[in-house]
Amino acid sequence: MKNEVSYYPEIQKFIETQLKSNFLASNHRELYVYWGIGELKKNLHRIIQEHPLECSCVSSFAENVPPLSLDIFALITDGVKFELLILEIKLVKSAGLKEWSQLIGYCLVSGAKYGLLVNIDNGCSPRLTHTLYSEHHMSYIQTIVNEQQQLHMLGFMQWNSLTHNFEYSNLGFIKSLSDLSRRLIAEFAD
Amino acid sequence: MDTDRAYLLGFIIGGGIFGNAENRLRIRLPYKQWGSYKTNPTRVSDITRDIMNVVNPLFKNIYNVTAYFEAAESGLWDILFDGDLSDLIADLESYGISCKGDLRTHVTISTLVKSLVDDNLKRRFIAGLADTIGSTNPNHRRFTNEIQIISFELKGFNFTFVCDLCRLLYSVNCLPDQILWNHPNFHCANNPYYKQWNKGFKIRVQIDQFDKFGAVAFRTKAKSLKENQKMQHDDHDAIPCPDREIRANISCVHPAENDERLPDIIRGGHYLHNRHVCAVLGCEHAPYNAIKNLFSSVGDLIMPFPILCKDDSATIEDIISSDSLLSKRKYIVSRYEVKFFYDKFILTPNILLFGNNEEVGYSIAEIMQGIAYIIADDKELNGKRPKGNYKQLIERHLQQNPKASIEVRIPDLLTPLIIMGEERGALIGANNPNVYKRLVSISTENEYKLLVRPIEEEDLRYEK
Repeated sequence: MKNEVSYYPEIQKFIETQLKSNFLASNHRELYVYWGIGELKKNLHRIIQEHPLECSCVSSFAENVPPLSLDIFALITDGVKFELLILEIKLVKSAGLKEWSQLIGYCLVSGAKYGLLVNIDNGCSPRLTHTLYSEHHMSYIQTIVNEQQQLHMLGFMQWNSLTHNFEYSNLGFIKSLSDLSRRLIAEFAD
Repeated sequence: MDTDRAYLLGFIIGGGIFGNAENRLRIRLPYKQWGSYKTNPTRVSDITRDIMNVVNPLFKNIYNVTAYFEAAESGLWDILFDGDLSDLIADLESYGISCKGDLRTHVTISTLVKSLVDDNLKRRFIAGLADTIGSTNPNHRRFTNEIQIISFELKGFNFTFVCDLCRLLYSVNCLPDQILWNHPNFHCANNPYYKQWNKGFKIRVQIDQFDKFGAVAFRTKAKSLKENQKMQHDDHDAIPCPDREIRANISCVHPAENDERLPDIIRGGHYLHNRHVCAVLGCEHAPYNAIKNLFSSVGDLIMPFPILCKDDSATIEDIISSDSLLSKRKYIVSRYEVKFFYDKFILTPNILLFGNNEEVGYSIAEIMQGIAYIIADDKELNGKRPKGNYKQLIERHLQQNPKASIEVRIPDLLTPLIIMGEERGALIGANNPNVYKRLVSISTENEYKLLVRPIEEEDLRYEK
């Protein structure tokens, strides 16, 4: 019986490939995606050490971020700007508010702008569906930290382990990987 | 361009049909029996799920339209849309695609392909096509179950699209196993009087190849591919086009070679092999030298008459009377025992009969197939094809009636041999390479395009 961790590599690979393709198609230059599993701060330092040229822009953020245990996250950068994407990957019959709350918590604490709740081969509960459908502030969250506004944009997607593709639910603010790509492209183009 | 859009564009081009009414689009999934609710209800619920969970959210995200579907008992699925299609149409038009009629029949993807800047984007586009026109029916196999195939099936005459799609597959190292062109030289190579040659294109890819490159988004397609793959015992590699052997068989010159629906570059040409078409179209992977080598034996590879034409006696008589070259002949009409031909066939299965040298005459193998059709009982035929082995059919009849005979009409020149039974007849063309090669010339516009002029009485008389 496979557990959720065993799906990490295929999901990571898929997301990374789509983001890189979309960035290349739009901006005609390379995007870098580095993955960390487990503690955020340590992983950021490791990534910076391994890729100093591409990740020097992350140094000051990595110094100030609090220690935080995560399932899996991606550091996405063009070498000048960067963003964090947090994945909350579940292998449950139906992902619910509990899992969504976990994702929100991780994003708020880490300051990650993007977060995806991914359930493998299953959707989400009627309650979560209703919440995400009717309450947009649950997936588009603005906070003020140290007098600076922070944005957190979240989405729910289903991983199809047979086709190795995402199936989109249209739930949450981030509707698709192309949608996520468009936001990154716009941000990094500024 | 983005990865989700690339998938949808493949999906729309694969199945999209624009109606006469403005902004009316249906995407047809030609699944036939594979997707019929009568023959496969479980799969049907999966297809429904795929349309609602895979396709619909993508259309909603990208073009802000809502998809719904209609399914027919025949296995035809139509995806229809609620909402304004302007964005979708503008997107297609930005790639030079005109939103009229059945897109596959006229689409050009060269501009679109340029925007697929890496293998992943190409892969997503191909996935959209595979989910619409990629047939995973287990009948698509190479000879046995051991090599399973996914077949991209297209109607129409859009040779350029098929060539571009084949190139696209090649560019991501997904090497097509075979390409079948929608042309009479391949769909009815034996009989120029057979008019139903317009059976479409097929690009066949080994499942192992497609699996490595792995691109479908429909769960139903993925399941079907895996089921078919389980029938194989080993993995199979595909061979790049230039390295593949070319074996050409004789084909008849068909009047539909001049069909107006064929594109200019193809029309009027005769093609010795599927990959001969690739060479004429200028594909960089075409085996140009191997095709040129075939030209030296062109007299053995073309036939200006039917190789074998089987039909009821009245139709055969009509064919003869409507062709002056055949109707003006003097025939020696005799009855031959079937056993005469059977014995010749058993002794020398490649022998040519009634000719004037070893290279000229009527193929005994074709005569035997004609005889099998003529003497068969109705229940032994599947249309015009004898069920099972034609030699065994003849042996069964000879056991019952060793003196069975047929009428044979041998012409004074080497026009088709006519064999007739009571209700059925057959025409068999002669092998006559030295005469036939003189009918062939090379197009001044394309050094790989062969032109074949009609045969005349003088050609046959000169040789005699």
